[in-house]
Amino acid sequence: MSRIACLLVPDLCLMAHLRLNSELAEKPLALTDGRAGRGRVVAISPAAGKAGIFPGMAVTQARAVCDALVIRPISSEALAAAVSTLADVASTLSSRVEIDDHDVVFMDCEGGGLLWASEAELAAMLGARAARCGLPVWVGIADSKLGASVAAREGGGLRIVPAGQTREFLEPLPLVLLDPDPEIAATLASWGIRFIGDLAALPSGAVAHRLGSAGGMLVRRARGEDDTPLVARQIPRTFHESLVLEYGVDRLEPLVFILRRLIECVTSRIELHGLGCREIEIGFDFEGGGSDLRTMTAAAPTTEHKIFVTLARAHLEKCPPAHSVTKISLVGVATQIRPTQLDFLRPSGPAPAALASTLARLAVLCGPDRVGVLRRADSHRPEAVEVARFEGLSTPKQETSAGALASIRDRGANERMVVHLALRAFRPPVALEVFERAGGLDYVRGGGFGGRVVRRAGPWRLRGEWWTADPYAREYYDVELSDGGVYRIYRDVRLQCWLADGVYD
Amino acid sequence: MFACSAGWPTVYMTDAPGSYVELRCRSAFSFLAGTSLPEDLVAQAALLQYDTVGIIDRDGVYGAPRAFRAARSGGLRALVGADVAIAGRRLGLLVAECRGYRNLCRLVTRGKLRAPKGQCDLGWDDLEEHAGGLVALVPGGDENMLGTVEGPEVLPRLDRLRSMFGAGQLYVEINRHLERQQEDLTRRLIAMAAVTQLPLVATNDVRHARPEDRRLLDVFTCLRLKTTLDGAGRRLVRNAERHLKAAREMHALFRDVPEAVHNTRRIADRCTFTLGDLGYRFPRVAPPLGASAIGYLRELVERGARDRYRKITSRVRAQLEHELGVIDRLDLAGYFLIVWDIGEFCRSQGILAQGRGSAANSAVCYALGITAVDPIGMELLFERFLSEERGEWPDIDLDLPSGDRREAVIQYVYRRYGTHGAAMTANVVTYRPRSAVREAGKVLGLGSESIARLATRLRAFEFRDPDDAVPNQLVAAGLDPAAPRVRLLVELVRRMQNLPRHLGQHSGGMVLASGRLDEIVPLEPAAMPGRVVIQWDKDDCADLGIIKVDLLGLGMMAVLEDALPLVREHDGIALDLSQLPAGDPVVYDMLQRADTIGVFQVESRAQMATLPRLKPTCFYDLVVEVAIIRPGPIVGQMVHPYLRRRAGREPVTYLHPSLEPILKRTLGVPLFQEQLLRIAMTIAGFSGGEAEELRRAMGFNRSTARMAQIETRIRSGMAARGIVGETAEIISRGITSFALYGFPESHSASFALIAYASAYLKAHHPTAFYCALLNNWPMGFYHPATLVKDAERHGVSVRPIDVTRSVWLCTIEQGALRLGLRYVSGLREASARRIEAERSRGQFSTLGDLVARAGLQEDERRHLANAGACAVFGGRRRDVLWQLAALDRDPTTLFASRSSAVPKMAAGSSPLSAMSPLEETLADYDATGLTAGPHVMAHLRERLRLRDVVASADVRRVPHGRRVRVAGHVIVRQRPGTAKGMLFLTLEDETGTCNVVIRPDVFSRHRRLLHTCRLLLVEGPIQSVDGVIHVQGVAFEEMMLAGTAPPSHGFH
Repeated sequence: MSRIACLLVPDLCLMAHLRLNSELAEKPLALTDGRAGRGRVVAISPAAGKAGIFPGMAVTQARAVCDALVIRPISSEALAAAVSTLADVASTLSSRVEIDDHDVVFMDCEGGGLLWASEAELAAMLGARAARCGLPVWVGIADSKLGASVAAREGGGLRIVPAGQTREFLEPLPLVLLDPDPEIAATLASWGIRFIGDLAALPSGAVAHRLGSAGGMLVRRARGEDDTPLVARQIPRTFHESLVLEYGVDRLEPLVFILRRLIECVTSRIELHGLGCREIEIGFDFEGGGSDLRTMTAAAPTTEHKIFVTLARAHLEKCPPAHSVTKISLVGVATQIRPTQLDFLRPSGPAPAALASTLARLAVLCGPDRVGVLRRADSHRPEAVEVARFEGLSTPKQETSAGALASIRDRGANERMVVHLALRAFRPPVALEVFERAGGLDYVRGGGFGGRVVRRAGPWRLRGEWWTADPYAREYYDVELSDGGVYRIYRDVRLQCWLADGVYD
Repeated sequence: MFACSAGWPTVYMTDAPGSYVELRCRSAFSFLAGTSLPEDLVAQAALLQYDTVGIIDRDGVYGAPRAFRAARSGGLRALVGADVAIAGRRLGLLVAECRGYRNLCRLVTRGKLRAPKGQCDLGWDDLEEHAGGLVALVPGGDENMLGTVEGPEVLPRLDRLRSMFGAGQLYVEINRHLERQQEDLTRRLIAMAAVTQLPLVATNDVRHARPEDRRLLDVFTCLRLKTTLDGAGRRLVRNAERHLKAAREMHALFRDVPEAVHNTRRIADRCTFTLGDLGYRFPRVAPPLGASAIGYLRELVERGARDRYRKITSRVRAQLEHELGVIDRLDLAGYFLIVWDIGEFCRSQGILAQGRGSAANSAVCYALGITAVDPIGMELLFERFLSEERGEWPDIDLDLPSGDRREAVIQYVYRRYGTHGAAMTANVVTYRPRSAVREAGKVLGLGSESIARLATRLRAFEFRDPDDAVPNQLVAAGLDPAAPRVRLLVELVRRMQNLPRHLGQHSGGMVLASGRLDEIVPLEPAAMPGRVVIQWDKDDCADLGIIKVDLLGLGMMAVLEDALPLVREHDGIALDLSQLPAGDPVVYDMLQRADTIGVFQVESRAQMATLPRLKPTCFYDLVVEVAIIRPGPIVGQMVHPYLRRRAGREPVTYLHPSLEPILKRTLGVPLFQEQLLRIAMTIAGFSGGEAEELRRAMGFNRSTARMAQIETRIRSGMAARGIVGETAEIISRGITSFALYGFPESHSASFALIAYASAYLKAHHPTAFYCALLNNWPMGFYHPATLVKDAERHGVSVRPIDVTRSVWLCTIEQGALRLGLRYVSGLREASARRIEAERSRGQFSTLGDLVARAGLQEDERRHLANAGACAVFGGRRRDVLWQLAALDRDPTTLFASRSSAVPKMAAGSSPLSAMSPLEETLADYDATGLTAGPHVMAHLRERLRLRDVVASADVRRVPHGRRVRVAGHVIVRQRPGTAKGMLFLTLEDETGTCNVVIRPDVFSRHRRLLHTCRLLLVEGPIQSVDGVIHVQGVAFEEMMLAGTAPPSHGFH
């Protein structure tokens, strides 16, 4: 008689979400089956339950009940990653591990007597390892997969069904524990079948005649028999994690914050298998469509997540996503960790990965806006600039989708500007004294130049960024002074002062 | 070296104010490309001493009527134009003369109808065909006709435009918004105009009336480009110069090209067209050969009056003559013939139609069969409908059965007057707090969750607690009211209020024209396939004298239409709605008892709470009842005074002696919109036009700002007549509280007639009434489950769905109501029709026979069995399900059944246990949403009795003040905005319904339970006042069942 252990995460949807969003653990959180705050609530955190939220509520209804409710859509990818993580945990104690169609993990407990003293100790070890991966786990052990999974659910933490007593254990339990197909469940409900024992008592042939082979199998399961034997899974070489964001993230810090968490998850899972991570692929989905994919390769396979975080930060600073990011997908490629041999023939110098890492650290130390080169910002404010990454570094591979490329091209097209003269800009602008007469500019001095205004053009008015803490309102003039120079000056309407913006060559 | 060696003076040269005309203003009707209403632009233009202003909206003349109206009252002239895209490049067109207006409308219509909704697709050939009578302003710029003035295509393009418009009608447009980059383009345009010898014209390409409106322009730009303010960058405008500027400022800006400014006046003088010259004519129904329209109308009225009145008394004759005389003098015979023609179509198709609104005041309309209320018998005043003094178009609304039958009438009108001769009026959807918060929050980059939460809290019709003030709502949504961006949000939301957001389709308003409607107003496709909508709303049409007929769908009309043949067939009585016995005591007794579930307009919880107090005894009481439970009278605190006066507990007094003739019928309390208009005319000296303005301000979509202006006018009018102090305050408050929800007496009379007819049917022919009601659901206030139980309480025998007897709709079978297959969840109509068809070939003999012949899908068969619809084949419900499951799988059994080898099942022929009675009831609710068996509460009665729970029918016998327990299925859950936070529940059990009221503090303590529970036990004292009985709930408990209780119904 075989012995099977079942690992089950209670409230899997919620736990899979909290595993990647641990800051929400104490908050009233509801997971919904629709995007953008629509649909119905399918899972809730304990705090949400206390606030009166329950699964099945419409989102609008839930919002009405609890103002502070955090609403997130359910993510099938997060769910899959959580289940895979659980299987990774089971793999640390057994070579025969299966993930079934209902996201339940089974492991063969036969022959592990050298690793654990009793089945209770095995269950405790599994629980502790899963908890380290951010997943609380219920463990059930029985003669069959079905018995083990029902024991896990019924036990609420740990339940060991003695060998040979699985059918008796199942009979008084509700039918829903067999996870019948919804259509069959509806038929059985209409037949008044509510307990596993009721179904086990029906003639299996007659039920199979009416409900098909699935119905027949369900009767057999009600009697404690498994449909299929445990099928061991292959040890994976790639590890996937992803996170769908509630709204588009367009700033680096929150993006890196989220990436750090995903990278940690991937590297720790790889570490469970005794492997190292050689490469991480980061995929971004953008608001309004389009996506891109970046690959970060470590100099050597490692389980140190900080290295990949630094690489990712540096790369993102240089090549920020073209649009707001709505989804991040991560794939970690696992390989054996081997000692590396340096190249005898190449001149000494920093390895590109190490250099990238150093620059990234500098950015962290000095602030990301203080390492790089200046670039004109998309603003009508003439002096507006932003910091871009140094060019010339070996850049990680990047594939950009058509949508993102088109956006870049459009942005370039909009920057067309007609310039007649070259202007040497004063940065920062130089304070001036301007004297007016009869409503016109008469004399200008300051900044090492000065003279009577011979001719002028303007005003050209600029007024904008009224929604920020630093709006601007200016009146620009081009003036030719009696000293022979031609200057661009402006009156700052808000600060009530005159400044020189530059001189024409 | 310099772009301009002369420089720009900051002290502007003075010039005569009238020498510049702003020809290009985009209003907010350019949808996200302009921020000011046409009225604001005109008002600002008047302030700047303009005498003329041009409104040129994108791809249409949406704002033209409002600009025209504002300009007319402000003593200005509003030029009409449109900014259209020709082959992707924009061109401004101004209307010079009538021909030009017709061309512009046809041009825009062509572009709109050719393109998807919201776009306009025009080419050069289209422009060439419609250039006559228009003046073209050719602007430069990236998107505009002349681009950057560098390409080789510019000169040929100008040549082609010159050949279309002629030399005097084509101008090169230049702007100066004090932008360095734009000045370069302007200089090129000036040079090019010199080369091509085309005249220049200066405009400021106005996007907002005042400089401070620029913020909203930035917000709208972001919304249009689907970005945020932070992300928009250089796509926003550089400064706030696109506002209306004083003439001297424009002269100063263009002092180097003065002819560009002078040409604005030249163009304005050339454009003599205004919307006053629309040339609209309504279509004429051709009278018989040799007859005039009025002669034909007179003949039809004579014929109809004989049918309606049987005996035409001298009073009737005099009234008809009076009305026909007015109609003749106003030359409106054709209008009445059009409406009569639509009514005739309805009659020919057997579609019930009834006029609503002020038409109910007309004996001619009654004689023509347009309305069903006898205005002479009702003593309604014809002048409220049509007055020679007001000189306005009459407004006739036709109520039609909703659904396909209404659509058939609409399509008839399209066919009758042609696709280009008839169209639906538009409905301008404006920004409301919720939409404004969502969109402004989005562009400000505020958290989407906070914005969603804030928007959700802004419930328009729900009660708002005292702590629902803006700062509190912001805090509750997780926003800091002191944060700069949140303050901006508040400011932007305030500015966005009432600005147009997009154009929708009016629910039923159709406009008609003789000839081509697309020469009167541009047409565009509606979202609904096959529908065409004009660019103006109903008020715009009324202003411009465009005839409109409202074809409105009303579910109860369909009920009446369906019930009459049932009454004829099963009760042997041919009812005529226009000849129902007036003052039927059975009907009024029923109304006084508030036994009105299913009765039109008086079935709501609030109406049912008023009926026993108002105790209607005649038709006019019903008219009052329909109007009194509206937010207007409730907010104006007019309901209780009226009821007290009616009960004789308060003397009938009038705030001012001049109000007595107006308010006498309603015991000194203003209840109807017409009364308020007459009060305004009598007491504040309103002219007919001003009263009309007040009526429109009372419309739902109009701005509160407009109402505030009117309120000021009312106060000053009263002050001029010596009415001041508290009296003036009360009158003014009464009028303004009606602002949004005032109900017209004529509407109320028409509705009351339908209410009376439905009450009559319920009282005398309940089986037919409930049958028709169930067949036309969804409609009204109650779920079918409640309607079925109410029918049973009225002696209707309701039979369950039976696959061998039921058809798709509910039917009457030997005096009993047989539920129809439409109530079996998941059963498709086509499947039900197949069952009917197969049955007509031979009754189903066994379950197998049904399965074999009806071609039902597996889930449909299961639903039928679960609903008990197959009980006729023998066996209990689960036996049928067991057998059906086998039949689904095994064709051998199927054919065996077909040959009647297994003719009947026996009870207990399966290994399954039988359903308990409660399980059967719940299965009914699950499969059909209702039950013809015992009420779900009947199963709990024993338990309830042990706990001293009083049945609904017995609550009436409990004395006032005594504490009771009641329990029932929650069929109504309401928290109306006018009830100061009170929650109202209606509980239903097997004996009837029971009303529960819950105070706000109690509600907040039990919010979750009261929000969600289905079966509720309530404890509290009885309140019994004037026959209106409530339980004031203080303690609550959810009743649990061994199964899923039927859903509750809340917040109707």
